[in-house]
Amino acid sequence: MIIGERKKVSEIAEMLAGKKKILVSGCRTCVAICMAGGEKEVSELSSALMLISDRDGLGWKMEENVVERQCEKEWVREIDDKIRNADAIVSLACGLGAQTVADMYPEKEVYPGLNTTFLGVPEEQGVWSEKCLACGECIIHTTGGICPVSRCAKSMRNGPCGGSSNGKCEVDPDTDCAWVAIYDRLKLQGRLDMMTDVIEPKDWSKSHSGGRRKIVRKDLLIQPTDSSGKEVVE
Amino acid sequence: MSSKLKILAYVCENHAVSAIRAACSSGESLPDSIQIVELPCTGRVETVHLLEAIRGGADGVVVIGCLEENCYHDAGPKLARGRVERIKEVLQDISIEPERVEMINVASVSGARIMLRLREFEKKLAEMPASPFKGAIK
Ligand code: SF4
Repeated sequence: MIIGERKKVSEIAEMLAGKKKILVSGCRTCVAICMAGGEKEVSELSSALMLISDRDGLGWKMEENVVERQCEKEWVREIDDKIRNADAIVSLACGLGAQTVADMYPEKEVYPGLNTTFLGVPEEQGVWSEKCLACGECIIHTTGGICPVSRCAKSMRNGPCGGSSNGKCEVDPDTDCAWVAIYDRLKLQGRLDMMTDVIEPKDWSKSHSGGRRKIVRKDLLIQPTDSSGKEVVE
Repeated sequence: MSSKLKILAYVCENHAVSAIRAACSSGESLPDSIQIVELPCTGRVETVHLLEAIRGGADGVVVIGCLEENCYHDAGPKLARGRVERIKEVLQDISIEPERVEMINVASVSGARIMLRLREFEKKLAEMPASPFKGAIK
C-alpha cells in the first residue's frame, strides 16, 4: 500500500493563511490503513486547526470529509459540492488523491496534509516498511521473493556490497541487509545455486528514471474522457 | 484560582472508577474542578476527544485508565497513552502547553494515589497562564 506520514499541524496552518472555508478531506484506503489520512486523522487535524483558528481569531470554517478512494474520480465527484464550497482543500490522501482533486478542480487550491513516503507494508501495529519501488520490472522470483531494488539501499542486483555486516546494512545498522535476507531465503528453499546466476543490468527506463509512466489498456477503454482542464487518456 | 479550573477526566469504568470510588468512600473527595466522563475502556479515547476538550474550554484533560497489564480489553491504556503522547506533540507544535493533557494509570486499590495525582495535576494547571479557550465551554 501507499504509506504516508502526517505533516506537522503548524506547517499546514501556515499554508492556509488567509483562507476561510477549509475542507479537510481524507481517504479510506491506503492512508487510512497506515493511520495517516483516514477518518480519525481528518478529525484530529480539523480539531487542531480549529484550536489555532479560535486562539488566533482566524475565523476558519472547517468541513471534514473522507472519500472511499480519493485517487478515483467517481468517488471525488461525490463530494463535488463540498469542494466547490471551499477556499482551500487540505488533502489527507496520498499525492495521488490530492492530485486527483487538484486536476478535477483546477481552479481550487489543494494543500497536502501528509507526505507520501513509500510503497510498503504494515509489519506490526505502528510499523511500516518499504518493500517496492514501483520499478516497472518485477524480478523477485530470482531473489527468493525479496525485492533488492527497494530493500537494498543501493538496489544491488548481484549480491551484497562490501558493507554488509552481521546481517545489517552499512547505510543503516538498524536495517537488515536485503542480500543477507535473500541468501537466507534461497537457502531455506534449497535454491542457493541461484545466488551464482549473473543477473543482467536492470532496465531503469521502465522505472521513473525513464520519465513519467502511463499505462493505457485498450481492452478496457470505453471512450476517452474529456472535460476542460482535465487530463485525458489519449 | 483552582476553584475556577475545569478539568475533563476520561475515566475507565473498570479499575479506574473503582479507585476513585474507593478514595471517596474513605473520606476523600474529587476536586471540584474535575468533571468525569466514564468510558468502557480508555482505548475509546480518540485524539479528537482530547483536542475538543481543550477547545471547549477545559484547562486540562486527563485520561485515567487501568494499569497497562490489567486492561479488561487488552490494549486500552496502551492505545490511550499513545494518543495522549500524540496530542502532547500536536499541542507543542501549535504552541499550547502539552502539560494540559495527561494520562494516569491506576489499580482499583490505589484510591489515595489517584487523588494525589489529580491534585498535582490541578496544581500544575493552576500555575499555568489561563487557557486561551477559557470560557468556551457551553
Ligand atoms: S549492506 Fe546490503 S542492503 Fe545495504 S547497501 Fe549493501 S547490499 Fe544493500
